[in-house]
Amino acid sequence: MKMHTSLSDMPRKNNAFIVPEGYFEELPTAVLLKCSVSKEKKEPLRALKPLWWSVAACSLLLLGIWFVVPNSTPSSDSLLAEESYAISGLRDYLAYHVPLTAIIEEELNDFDMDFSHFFYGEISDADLLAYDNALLDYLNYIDFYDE
Amino acid sequence: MNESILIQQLRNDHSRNFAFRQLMQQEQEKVYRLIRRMVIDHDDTDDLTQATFIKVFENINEFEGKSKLSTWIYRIAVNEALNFLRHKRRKLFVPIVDVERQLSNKIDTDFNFNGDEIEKKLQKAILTLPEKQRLVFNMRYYENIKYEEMSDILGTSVGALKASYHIAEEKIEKILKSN
Repeated sequence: MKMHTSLSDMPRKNNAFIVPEGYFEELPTAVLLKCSVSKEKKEPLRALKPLWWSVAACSLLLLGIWFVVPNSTPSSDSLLAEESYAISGLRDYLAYHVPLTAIIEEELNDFDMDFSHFFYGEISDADLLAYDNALLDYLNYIDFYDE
Repeated sequence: MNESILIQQLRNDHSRNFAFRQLMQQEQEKVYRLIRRMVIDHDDTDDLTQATFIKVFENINEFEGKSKLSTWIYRIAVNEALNFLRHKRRKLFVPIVDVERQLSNKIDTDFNFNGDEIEKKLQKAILTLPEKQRLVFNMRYYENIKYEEMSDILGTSVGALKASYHIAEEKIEKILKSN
């Protein structure tokens, strides 16, 4: 057997690597299939391009936020209702635990003031001061009876 | 078919698939062989050949016509093969020599390799060459691609390619004689 030690006298084989039967016949179809799949995948992105899609998406997002996120600032009516409820609660508490005297009645009547103007943009420094004083009076009154 | 007509048909939505089949029939075997000699394994070669032609299909409008269409396709194929080997090396955290040793072992075990002992020895000798030298050698020795076209594909001067081929030839002959 002849030993080939030089490239020039070696037979040039271009078929040493076997290719499965029918591979080259099927390859174009396989590639074209993949090309059409990748083309289909890209199409939805193109459909999203028009401006009105973006506008619709933004509107939906805003609506979603409106419905999902709870209103963080309570309305003035609800504040007023809470305040009245608290005061009536105090009145009940005191009526049960403390013997009511005329002074207490008077104090409570003083305290049972109209707060509505606090919630309609008419709050002045004097109003705030009056409110603070009323609260202080009330708290002192509570402390007095607790002792 | 005239290349400019083929390119026109490839850029036309109505004739694109037909023209693409023709193009593949012309070039697929050469592209396959070029990649196969670099990555050895048939399945890897199949993936890379398909990836090459998918890129051709998707980017045909970007082909500027400064070189032959086949040159542009071979350039894509070469990049695919080199990227694959680079990725394999990075993925396995192994040095170049070990990847080439793996490929060399594949020649021994691969039932898709049909060469005799001499051919096996030659393929293993080729696998000892650095990647680009291996590419140059395969393109010239097996595919008989002209240096000018190789220069377009690899972006290297003709002189450097000739020198590279000469060095590769000497290395391979040395290995063949030593065995």
